[in-house]
Amino acid sequence: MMMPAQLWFNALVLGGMYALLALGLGLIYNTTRLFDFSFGAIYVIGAYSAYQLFELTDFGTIPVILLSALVSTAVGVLLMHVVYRRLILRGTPFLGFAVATLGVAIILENAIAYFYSPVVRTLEASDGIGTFETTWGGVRVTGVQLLILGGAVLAMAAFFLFFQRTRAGLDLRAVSSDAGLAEAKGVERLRSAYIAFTVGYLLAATSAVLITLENRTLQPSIGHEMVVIAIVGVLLGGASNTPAAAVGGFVLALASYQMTWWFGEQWARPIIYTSLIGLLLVRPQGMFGRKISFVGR
Amino acid sequence: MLNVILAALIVGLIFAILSMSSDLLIGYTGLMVMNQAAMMAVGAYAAALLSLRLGWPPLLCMLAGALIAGASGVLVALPAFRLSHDYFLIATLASQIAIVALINNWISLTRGPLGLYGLQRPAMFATLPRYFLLTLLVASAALLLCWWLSKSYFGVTLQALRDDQVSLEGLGTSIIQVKIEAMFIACTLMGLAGGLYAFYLTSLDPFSFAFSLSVLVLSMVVIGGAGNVLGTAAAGVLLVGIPEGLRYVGLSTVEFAQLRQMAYGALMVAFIMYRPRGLWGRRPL
Repeated sequence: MMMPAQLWFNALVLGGMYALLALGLGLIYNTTRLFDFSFGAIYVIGAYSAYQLFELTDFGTIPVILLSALVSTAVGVLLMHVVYRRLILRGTPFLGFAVATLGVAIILENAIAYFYSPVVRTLEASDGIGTFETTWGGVRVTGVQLLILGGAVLAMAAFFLFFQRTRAGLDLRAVSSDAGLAEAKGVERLRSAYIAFTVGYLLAATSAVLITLENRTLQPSIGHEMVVIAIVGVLLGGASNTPAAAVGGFVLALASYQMTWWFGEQWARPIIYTSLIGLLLVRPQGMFGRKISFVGR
Repeated sequence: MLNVILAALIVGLIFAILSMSSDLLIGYTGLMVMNQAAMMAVGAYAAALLSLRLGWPPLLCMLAGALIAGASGVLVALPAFRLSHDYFLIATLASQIAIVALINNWISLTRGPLGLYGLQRPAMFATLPRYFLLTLLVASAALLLCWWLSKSYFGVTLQALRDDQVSLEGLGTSIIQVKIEAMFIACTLMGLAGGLYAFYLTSLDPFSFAFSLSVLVLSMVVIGGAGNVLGTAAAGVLLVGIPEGLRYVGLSTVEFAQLRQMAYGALMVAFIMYRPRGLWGRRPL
């Protein structure tokens, strides 16, 4: 039994956002081979700065999105400069880096919970975008959904232009393909890490604001859930293949809607995360990843 | 006052079991686990359900719950055993969320968010001081086991797995088997901690086993020092015992919990940046 067209459309909208998240985290992971938990905190900061901007100012929706994405990316770059730069320079191994970013994420998320209280808050697009609504062939389409689709297309187009057509993108691709060789050829490791973190955080923050506008609710504890969503997207697409993460994000969103349609909302999450573990067993390289060499037998 | 101290110590000791079993995986084997809270939840719920539904004696329930947790730990990590350690982190993280969501939604079995009530402590250890004795006994046994394991041939194999997998394989050791054994032992201990926790509280709900609890255990390993069972156990007692004691003197607001979490986060970052070996660790993380 397939979903009705309305749910397909909703899944597509959500998929655009998940795709941005997965692209961002995938870019960071493939460039540095490090795992960044503070990705979720950047998401939360993006959502709360949008909330704050809607409360304090009467800017339109689009300026708020841009501003709050910039604010949370700036926080991320600051983190990179103060904490992660040192760790990367010192060659902190995978475990230590994961712990440090987790610590940072906890500080930031609890700080937000402290200042805004951990309750669920609501936010709504203030101008015409929030009230616009139309139907296309029986599918109800809201202004926010159109905005999300447009934003996702724009952000992905910008990302692919950057990743495939610029010198910096070439460097990142080189590092993700063979970090040692890239460094020997003069690609600075720290510089590519800075670029990857900045672009990754920008994608996370954009997607954060847009998802929040669609869900109309926000909560400080949502961060680590979003990290996991991004990881699942990356793994579905294929961990070694950055652009494929976008496809993974779409597949994940479709799967969540389909599972919800079949089994009810409360079962969608356990089913998806359990099947992620199954996916690792059967096809750890995801849909489009490079074949992974197994350790041990 | 005595009861306050005893309660704080019981919870501290339970967390000491959690932190040293995590250290067995993180510090000795080099496997990053993030599902400590979920393993604890499996042990706690299995023990509670066996006691409430089947009427098994409490101590047997704890033991059975521990073994169930061990088995489920191996099961969820099964696909990650043959992959690199990045995937181990991801698989355990996913299982943390999946297991807690499962407990929350499988209402016919676990009563979901309503939780389970009315557990009976073992008759011999029903009062708080006696339950403290039981916890102390179990925690010391777990500590001895972990310490002995870390010194044994098996412990050396674990460290070899962490430091040089290829050589270990060259010597004819099955890496997967070693990983499965380590995961089973550690998750069994985590499940045992869960069982102790369940019968200490005498009630359970899925929210007590959130991801933040795994993070707390992880921060104990980081602060105590990876690769030192005693150190991580001490960090467990200190990091939980102190705030747990403070809770009874009136500092139990939501704001206090958030500040406490922030302090743990700050300690984790600070230790990784300035002292990656932790307080008493042997190996920088």
